[in-house]
Amino acid sequence: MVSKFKIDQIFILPFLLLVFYAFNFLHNFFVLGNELSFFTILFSCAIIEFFIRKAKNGDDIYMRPISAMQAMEEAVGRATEMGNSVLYVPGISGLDEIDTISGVIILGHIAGMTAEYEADLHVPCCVPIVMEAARESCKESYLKKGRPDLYNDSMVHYVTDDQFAYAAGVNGIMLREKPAAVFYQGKFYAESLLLAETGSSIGAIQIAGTGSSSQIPFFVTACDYVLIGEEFYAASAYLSGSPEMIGSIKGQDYVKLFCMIFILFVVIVSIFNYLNFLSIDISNIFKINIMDGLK
Amino acid sequence: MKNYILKLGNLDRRIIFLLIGLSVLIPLINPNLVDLPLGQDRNTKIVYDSISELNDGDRVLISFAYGASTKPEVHPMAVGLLNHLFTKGIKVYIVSLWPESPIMAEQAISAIKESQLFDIKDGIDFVMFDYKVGGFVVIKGIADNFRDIYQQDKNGISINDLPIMEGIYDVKDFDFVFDFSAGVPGNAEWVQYACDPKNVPLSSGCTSIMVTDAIPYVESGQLKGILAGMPGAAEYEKMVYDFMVKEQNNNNKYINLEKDIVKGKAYARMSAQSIAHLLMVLFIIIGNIAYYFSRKEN
Amino acid sequence: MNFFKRQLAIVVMSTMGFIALSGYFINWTTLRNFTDKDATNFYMIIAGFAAFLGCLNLLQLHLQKIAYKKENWQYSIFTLIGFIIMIIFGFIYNGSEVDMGPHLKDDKSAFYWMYNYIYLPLASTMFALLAFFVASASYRAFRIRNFEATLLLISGVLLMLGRVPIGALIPWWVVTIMFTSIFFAIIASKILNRKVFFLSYVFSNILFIILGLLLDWSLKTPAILSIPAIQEWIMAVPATAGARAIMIGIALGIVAQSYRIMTGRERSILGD
Repeated sequence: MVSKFKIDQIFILPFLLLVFYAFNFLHNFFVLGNELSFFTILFSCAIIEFFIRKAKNGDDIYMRPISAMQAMEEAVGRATEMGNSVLYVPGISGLDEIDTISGVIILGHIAGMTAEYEADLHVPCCVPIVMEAARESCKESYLKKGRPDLYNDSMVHYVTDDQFAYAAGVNGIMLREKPAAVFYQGKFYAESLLLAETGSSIGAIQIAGTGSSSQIPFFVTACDYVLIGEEFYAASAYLSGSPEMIGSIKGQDYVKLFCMIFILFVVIVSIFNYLNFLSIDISNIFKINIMDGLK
Repeated sequence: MKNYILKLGNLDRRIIFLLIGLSVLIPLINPNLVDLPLGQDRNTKIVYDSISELNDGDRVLISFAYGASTKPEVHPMAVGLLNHLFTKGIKVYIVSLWPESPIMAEQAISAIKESQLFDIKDGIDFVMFDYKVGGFVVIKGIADNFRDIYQQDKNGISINDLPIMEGIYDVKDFDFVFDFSAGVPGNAEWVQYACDPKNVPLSSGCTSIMVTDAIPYVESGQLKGILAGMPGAAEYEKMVYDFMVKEQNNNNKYINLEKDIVKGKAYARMSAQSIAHLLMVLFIIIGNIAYYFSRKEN
Repeated sequence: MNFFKRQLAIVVMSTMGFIALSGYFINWTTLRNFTDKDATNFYMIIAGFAAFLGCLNLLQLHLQKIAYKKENWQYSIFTLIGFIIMIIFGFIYNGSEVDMGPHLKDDKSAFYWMYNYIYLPLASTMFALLAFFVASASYRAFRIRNFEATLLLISGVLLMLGRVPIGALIPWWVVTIMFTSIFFAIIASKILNRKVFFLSYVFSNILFIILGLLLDWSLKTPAILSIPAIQEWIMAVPATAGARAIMIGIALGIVAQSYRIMTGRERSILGD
């Protein structure tokens, strides 16, 4: 009874915010036309927080095995056995992209593995600020594994800001150093296939992950394992193994379930509309109309 | 025979590269060698019809968001669109969202001027703005307050002194928005931050790779059709070419009647793309036949 | 020192995240100006200074390689030459009548010449390499291994042919043979007798061709036997559905990841 009360407390703040928003107590405090976004974000965050707390309280949460994540350690092991390095490509965008942040987080875990297995790690970066973040991440991982002696700053270096010049640079690194394992984790654009094909030609095991949906087919074609879409964002939680993080993935899945139910509801209403059983234009709910003058 | 087929299944990549190279090079060197009739994709037709519905004096905002690497794919669309708009006497407003885009825009306008088909004047018939840092923030700014983002045009002239800028305050003052993009910011940002919230018709021309990302917006009507890569550029160029020829024959007041209308570059490149695609399909078929025999052998 | 790296970093991260999110919903001009302009400017300034670090790192790395004659040090010479040349043309030598700065966009400047005649062809060439790599990737990967791979193969082939003019020239009977071939390839394992399999395949093709001739499909080809029409359908229906699903999944993944970062739970980026 007490734990149930504690869990329900999570919904009090979102509920109050929703009431405040709906009645707009302070005149024009909120921007009108953004109701759907506001409700969706509040709802998603509440559900995610609910499952994070549930996981923290000791609930066992099942996560389906994702082959790409299980293969990460195998890939690093393979590189160690072959005596070759591990190449990690954190994408071509800056830290303003969530994909790059996820990539740097996963780099931290991979760096931990390379420290443990004593494999060489090479991280060519496209953006200087990402280089700095990646350096910090690697340094801390090596320190945590008790192998600061294996870390050196030249592991993580800057190549160039230009997309194709970066692709050319990384291709050159792959062809000269012939790494045994290549990770592509971050934001990629057209250079994804250039990188993946070159990695394939040197016989490296390749594990990719990106939120750029247009590049996923290229990685699927050329790489051994791919984290598709949200699997990539869940990877950091998966690799950490912490109950809080895994709880957030379950919360995300429940939000997706609600989305699916809502899509089904809209389809049914649209069919009824089409057959003239109803006359509701449900598409109006999804319109975001930010009114003028309310700045 | 079987061994020969099995060998074909493990073809050296360099042979594939050589054949693809030749299949692209030969039609490009001699475009008349392979002359294929151009179709009309549904989405290209929607773009063309949407622009055709605009009237003399309407205002179209064009966003240039591509660079040198994607110029062969996107630039012909941009030139085609400018030809279409100037033929109809539509005012053109050009903004650049990538660092290289002002150069691309400049080259597109130069191509129009060099054709000598139109007597267009900077500040009256068209205006160009320089690159602004910020990506989607610039798009949001244009949607809310255009004059807050741009105080002067590319030549340094204050927008208050430009006749074309009269009555332009935000994105709703434009009759149409067209985005040429090869990445981010692109058509998705224009849909999300400007055109869909403000109900301004939007269309886009982008690289073939980006089309799968943009297609949900096309199917929902948030994008009025899309020019998909080089095939879309070639189809649109052909439609615009036929339109311009017809208008010239009808003594359209905006076109120079003494100058020849030249077909665009994308059209000439389609034969190369056709042969290359056909060759890739052949490689796939050969690879699968070899794969079937190798599985049987094992 | 640990306080700055950990607790303060988390506080700054969470505060800025919530302020940026609030800026989208709260109708307060100062806040919206901050999120739309000032916050972006902060990032640009930080990124700009970080660019110096990047350049210094580049110089340091390649100079060290040359100085200690490490493996492949010769390539570093070219890197440095390219770097120095662009610095000279960008900051020192103009070549046009325009002031330094705007000269970057002036077509008479040396920098513009280098952009137009060196950088532009190089960038286009790198992008063009994709054509070759797509060919080798599809040759290697598009094999009938399982159901999903077969689906990928069929849709890939149809889209490749449908998007180019050559697709419209492929006659209906070729498409008919293609469909029957795919059908029989799928059911091949169910028919054990090879003679029966072969005869049924041949008869099916002949039957459809005769049907097509009787119904005059040469003049009025049904959409299902026209590759451009099939291509349009694939783009409009299954591709759109897949793109939407992935888009929704990615958006939810971003929401969850952002929530974890903003609430300070995702600390790995700080090295924790």
